[in-house]
Amino acid sequence: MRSAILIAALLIVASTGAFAADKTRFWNLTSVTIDKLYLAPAGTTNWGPDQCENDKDGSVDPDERLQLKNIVAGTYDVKLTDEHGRTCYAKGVKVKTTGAYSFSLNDKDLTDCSQ
Amino acid sequence: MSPRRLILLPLVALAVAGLAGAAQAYTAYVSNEKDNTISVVDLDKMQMVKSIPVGERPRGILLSKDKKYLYICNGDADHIEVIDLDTLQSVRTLDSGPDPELFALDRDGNKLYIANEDNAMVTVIDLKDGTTAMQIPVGVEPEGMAVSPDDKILVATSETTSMAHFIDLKTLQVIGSVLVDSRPRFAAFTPDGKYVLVSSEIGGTVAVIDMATRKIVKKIGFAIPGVDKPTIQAVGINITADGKTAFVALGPANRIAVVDLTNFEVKKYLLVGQRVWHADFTPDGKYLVTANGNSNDISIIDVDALKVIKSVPVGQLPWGVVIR
Repeated sequence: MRSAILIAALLIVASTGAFAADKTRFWNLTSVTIDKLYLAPAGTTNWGPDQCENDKDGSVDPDERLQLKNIVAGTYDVKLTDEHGRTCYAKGVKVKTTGAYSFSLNDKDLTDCSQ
Repeated sequence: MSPRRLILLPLVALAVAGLAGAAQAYTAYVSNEKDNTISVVDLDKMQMVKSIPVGERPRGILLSKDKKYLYICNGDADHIEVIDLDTLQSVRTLDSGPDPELFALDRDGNKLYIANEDNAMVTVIDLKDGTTAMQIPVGVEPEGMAVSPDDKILVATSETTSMAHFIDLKTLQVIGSVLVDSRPRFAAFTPDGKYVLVSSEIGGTVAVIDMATRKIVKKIGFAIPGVDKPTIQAVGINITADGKTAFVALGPANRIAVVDLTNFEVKKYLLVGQRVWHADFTPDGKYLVTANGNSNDISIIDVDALKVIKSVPVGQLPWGVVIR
């Protein structure tokens, strides 16, 4: 009986995890197309892979969503490069794995931009 | 208070009261894609009077032909939600296929043509029984949808393919495609059906396509002093009932371009709220109301005077608007 409960619990966790992975999406609410997007745990420079590689055309247009891979809920710093070659940062971004999207960025969220 | 101010204040009050009176009894319904609501705005009072919770990511919004119902594309919920406008309650949902973004009704209001952004399809729903009548493959990321005034042709724009597809509404087959500038997002027919105008967000242009030849006869470009070219992103198009003027929403340029359709020249830019995607006329054609995503408001434009007369706060990230 105990093992049956455990298996059921594991199945629930597994199915919830799969759902969360599907919903782990970035929503580009800036006015520019983003060509590269990296996440690092907040306060570090341990940048993960370029998430734009998950997109079918390799970039995220304004108002478009991007599927994120291998990201868990937490607080991150985000580094991005836009279509004009400008690199910007967004610090201390809360990323969730529930709901329709994980996080969004507006123009006003971008800091320390440089060409 | 200076005597000049004392004279001016009643004049301004009179102007606002007069405009409010002219828009009397009209109501705007605004889809807010971030907080998943429809804002109901009384255009007489010029204020939001109700917020209706709907499914996730409402964007495209339409009135039924009898103006009794509101249809809403809930992109993240993968359905069309139907709101009864007498009760302001959700009365049914229609299976739309994945990620519905924009849609169009046929002339009689019996069929709904829906752009499915995620699977490159146009879904046709029979509104009598709510069933899916057909799915039509088109280019990648379809969005703009417009039915010709004679009810014979549907134009669907595909953002990634950068094409306007012409679909015969008898056979429901694509009978031709026209390459336009990058990321076409909207299509609108002139009232006489002679032209279809297709906006391109990244290209920042509007292509004027002759329906008889299916050729682009003019590309309308936009230039605003002091505004970076890449932020001029053409999206929503509203054409006056006399077919003489088009109002083009320019997204993060925060402007509406006023285009003279007799010569396809831009005659004015109107400053509105931030990231304006779509707009709608009041039924009398006297006012145009724009949905401004990043400033969370709507702007009300006096069409004859070509002036913005008021902004009204609504929900989060307003995307589309209809007025009855």
